[in-house]
Amino acid sequence: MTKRIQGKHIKHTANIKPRTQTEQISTFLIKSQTPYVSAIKKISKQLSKFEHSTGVKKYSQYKQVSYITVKGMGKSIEKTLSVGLYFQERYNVDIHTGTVEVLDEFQQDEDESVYKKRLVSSVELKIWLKKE
Amino acid sequence: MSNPNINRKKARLYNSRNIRAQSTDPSLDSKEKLSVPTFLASRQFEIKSFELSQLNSKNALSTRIFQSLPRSLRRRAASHNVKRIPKRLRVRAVREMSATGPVKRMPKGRQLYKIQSAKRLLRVAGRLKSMKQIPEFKSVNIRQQYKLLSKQLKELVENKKLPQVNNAVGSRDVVGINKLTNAPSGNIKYFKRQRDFVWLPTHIWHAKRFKMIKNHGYQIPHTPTQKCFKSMSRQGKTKAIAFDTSYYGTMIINIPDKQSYKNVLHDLIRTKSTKVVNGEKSYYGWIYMNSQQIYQGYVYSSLANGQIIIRVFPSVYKKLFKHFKENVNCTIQDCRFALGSIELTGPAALSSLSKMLHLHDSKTIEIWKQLTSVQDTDLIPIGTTFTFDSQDPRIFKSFKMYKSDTTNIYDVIISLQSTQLVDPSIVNQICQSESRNNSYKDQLTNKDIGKFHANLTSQPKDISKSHIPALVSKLARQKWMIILPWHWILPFWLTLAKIRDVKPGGIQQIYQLNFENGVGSFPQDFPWLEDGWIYNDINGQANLFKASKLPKSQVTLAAAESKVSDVFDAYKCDWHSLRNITYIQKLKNLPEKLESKTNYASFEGLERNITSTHDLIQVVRSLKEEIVDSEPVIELYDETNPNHKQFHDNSSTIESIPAIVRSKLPVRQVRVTLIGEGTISNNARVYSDKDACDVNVIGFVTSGGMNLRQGAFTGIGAIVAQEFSSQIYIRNVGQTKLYLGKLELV
Repeated sequence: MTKRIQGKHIKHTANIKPRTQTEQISTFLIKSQTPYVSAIKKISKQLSKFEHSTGVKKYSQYKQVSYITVKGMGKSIEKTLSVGLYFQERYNVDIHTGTVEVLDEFQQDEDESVYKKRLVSSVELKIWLKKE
Repeated sequence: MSNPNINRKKARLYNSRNIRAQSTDPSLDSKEKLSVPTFLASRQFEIKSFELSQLNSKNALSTRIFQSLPRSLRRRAASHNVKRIPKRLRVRAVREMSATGPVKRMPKGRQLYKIQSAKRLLRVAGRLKSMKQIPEFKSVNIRQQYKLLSKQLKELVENKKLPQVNNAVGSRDVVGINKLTNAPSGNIKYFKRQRDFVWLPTHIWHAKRFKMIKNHGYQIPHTPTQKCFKSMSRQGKTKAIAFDTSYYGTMIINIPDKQSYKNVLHDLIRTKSTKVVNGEKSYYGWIYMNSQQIYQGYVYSSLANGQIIIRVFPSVYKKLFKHFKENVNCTIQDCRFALGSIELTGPAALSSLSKMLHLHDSKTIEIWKQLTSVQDTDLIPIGTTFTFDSQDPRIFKSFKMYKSDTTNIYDVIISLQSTQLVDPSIVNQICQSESRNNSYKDQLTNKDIGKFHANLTSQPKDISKSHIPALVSKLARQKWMIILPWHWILPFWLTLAKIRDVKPGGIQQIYQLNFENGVGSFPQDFPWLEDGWIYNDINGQANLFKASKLPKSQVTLAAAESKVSDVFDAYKCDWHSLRNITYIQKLKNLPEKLESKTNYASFEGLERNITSTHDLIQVVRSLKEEIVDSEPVIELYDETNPNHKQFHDNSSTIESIPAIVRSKLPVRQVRVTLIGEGTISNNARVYSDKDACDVNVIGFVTSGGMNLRQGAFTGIGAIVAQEFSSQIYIRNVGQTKLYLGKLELV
């Protein structure tokens, strides 16, 4: 066991790359606090918005997007996979496993912080759209 | 005879409204049975023609092509200036214009004379400016001013005077040493308009696109003329919003003695961080004057140079300046019109900032490059400060783009702790009047820039001679600021405004973003500070004045409020009455339980006996009329203050009614959110109980409204510093309905 570092633990997000508008609207991130049903509902809504070529609420990125990405890491991998299983009944779902690097900050006082890098397993789903 | 044009227009409208329909219906031809396919076909035809007519009538009456443009592409002068219309529509616009264009009336007589004399004056002033002289302005009429300038020009030509400024644009450093300086006079054409309220460097740009307000001696951009409530919220969530905050005043304090420097800095910001004192980090937080919080401002301390840069809101500036002048042995530079600043908020703030900065080589450039490639999150520590030696942004046609690097960003973040990012010599350049002036040396005119861009073979390095000192700091989460010499703000702003991720905002948008993030805005959300107190008072007076202009048929807010509350003023947050009603319940000789029914008044000496709630409220009402306080009657709750602690534990008592009037009420800032449905507006009352009785009021909402980030109504306010359950009730002014909400300390 490694020794615990003293200080207030600040977990930094792993999403630090700037995302394009298209990426923003076609990606769904699952956190440990995300309720399962809300995730299902939100993803279904996103799917239906990209599936229909007409209608009031249509994204202008309709043509660029062919799948919705769902990401989860660490504790939320299980939830992400069960979301994937739910959508597998109606859609083609690809599952990719991977690792992401995150940064932990241990704030000791106003000036001093100790940083530590950590690797976390991750999973990424691609839910392929059924276009009209 | 009627006008044929109107007839034609009417005819067009009538035609567009016609919906074509089938006169005969073939599906019903055979009397026995309905032919379904033909029936469907005719209904389809009807729906189509109905939709077509909707489209037709929408555009039927439009006579000009720009009427089909969305709001964001329309321009004020588009009706008579084709250049204000997108190129693809210009041909048609020219045709429409020549058909109906107005006949221009030429000025005559006195009007013509006035224009001509103004033009003559401008010509002389322009000549002086191009000869690097400062034209003398006086509040006289045009003819006298013309004489004055001609004399100046004549003397100049005869005596061969040295240039007064180092550029042909008229930029120079205006600074007051140990005294407040006069406002810059600006260009002679607009001299009179900025005498009382100073124009920001970007004033003309903003005046075309924003509603401006005159406040604190400045013309401040208030809000864009186009509606933007939702779009700004979205922009703040995913991209960036830029603000010209040059109206914030900057002063620079110089104290050579190290020990007294540290003492002054400690009195000012009370930080223990050695990094802030040494100038490795900047400070953004409460600023103290005579041990009292006055404002949340920006401080950068450069111990090596013995200089402190302080940037505060203009309403606080003068008293802080006076305080330093009278109490501290130091040299103070009044840099209100020598240094300007731009603020950027949003996740794309950092990357947008980097796109506008074309830097001369320096050691920190590598780190800057790598940092700007990430989305701005909490990763970069607050207070991170860079200094740069920048070039004139106007000479570059494209934005500065850094290629993404393979270096691990986390390593860069870790190395930030031990890397020196600030160059003290550049800080010194910002702090010295002489070097700020030097940065304006041979500042390019628009003409020079135009000539340079017209020549296709020219390279930026051919004319890039300027070295502009810049200080860049991260103030808070997703909030960056750049400090530049005053006359460099405009070129940088113009570049920034062209970057795709950036939208410009006014002071109203600063308030909106603060509100959405659950942070209070100065001064309105800090009523215990002098500025907040004055704001609340003035706002109340303005609301009262507005109500007095209402027609008699309409119910005023005060009348509606009087049905629910007997004590509180409807037009503002009535802290005065809240203080009285809170303390009167702590009177020593108050009976254990008050009667709830109305009774006749009984007096003991001059004071009324309090036996019922009715008595209590009547006494508070009588107190309201007696005294008007000029300074805040509330103060921020302080745990270390024993009186506050006693008040908080509900163990304090009050001797008599006159003692109430002398005491201050401790309050705490809170965030409120509605749990169910309902609305929150400014000045809403916060109750501790479902019973909307005046004695149950525990505070007010200083700013409330729809919070788009949370998708619910929220508010920021203050409550009496005592223990309450997190469940509270909120009532808007003039309404009887109470909404359930929850409370959260800020």
